[in-house]
Amino acid sequence: MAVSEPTQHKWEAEAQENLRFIRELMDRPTRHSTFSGLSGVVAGCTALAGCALTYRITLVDAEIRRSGFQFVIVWAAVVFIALIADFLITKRPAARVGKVLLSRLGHQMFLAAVPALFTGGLLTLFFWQHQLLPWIYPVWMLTYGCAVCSVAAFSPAHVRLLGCAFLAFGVVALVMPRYGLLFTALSFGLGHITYGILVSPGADEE
Amino acid sequence: MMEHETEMGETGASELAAALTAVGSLDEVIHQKVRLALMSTLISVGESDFTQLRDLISLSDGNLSTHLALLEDRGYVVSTKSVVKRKPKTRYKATVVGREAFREYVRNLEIILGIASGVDERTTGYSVISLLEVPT
Repeated sequence: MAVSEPTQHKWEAEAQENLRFIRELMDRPTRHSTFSGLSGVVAGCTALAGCALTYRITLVDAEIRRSGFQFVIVWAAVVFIALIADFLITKRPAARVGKVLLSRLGHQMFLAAVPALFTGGLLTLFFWQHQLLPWIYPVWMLTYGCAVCSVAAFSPAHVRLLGCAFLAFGVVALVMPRYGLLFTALSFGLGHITYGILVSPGADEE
Repeated sequence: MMEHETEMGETGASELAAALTAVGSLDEVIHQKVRLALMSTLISVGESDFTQLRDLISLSDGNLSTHLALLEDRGYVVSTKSVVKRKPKTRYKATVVGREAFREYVRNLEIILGIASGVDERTTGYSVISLLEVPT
């Protein structure tokens, strides 16, 4: 039963190293297919195009209530295009080299993000029904920020920073609702593009 | 004070006993680094063919074959052969027995480290065992 302290430390070091090794291998498929710099840039550009279209169809934020249907169509298209682009840029090549689209870790990340994203979608429909769409911008930033922060528990530290940035934008947009579209362009547009450029070297190595 | 110290001593002794048992129970087949990499990868990606595994783990064909054969012998991995575009292809998948053995191995590592909460604060924030809880 007597075990010397160095032996115990050796076991612990080996166990820690093996767990780190396993985690690294299990993370690899998800990181490869989740954090692509290029798909972040494409998502940002699509969001900027969505903002420009929204500006064009509404001219000023306050009039969104009259063109709610077009607003919803534009942003549904933005989400759809960003997802398709992400699939074509990262998920399909990942699958080609034997990496699953949704690994175990990816599954957990997806489940972590769903409540916040579902809330965002539900509130969009609610605000649309009650003709309060201008208020949806801060809600999008806040719910998306919450989703990113949830995913950050399984991700590199910089993902949490992205989530916090969205939360900060959401708070500011809530205080200044007149500039909601501008903050949407800054966060979903420029924010994604900047993040995509910053993470691309490390992420694409994998 | 004395009672507290005795309690602490008893806790330490029981943790040490648990760690000793865990060290003794570590599965030697999985403990080997290459097989550990193979099991981790197969459990993570679900299913993979020989070439993909070779590229993912960066092994020579001979080395990979030897370790996969051993894992198959132990019933931890199962292979299926097929012909794709006139070329034979072998796909590998972790079996239920393999998954359970891997889970047990990770659990033993976590016992050695004294991680019981499911959150591994010593490394990168989450426990590996939590990754294995997702049903297939």
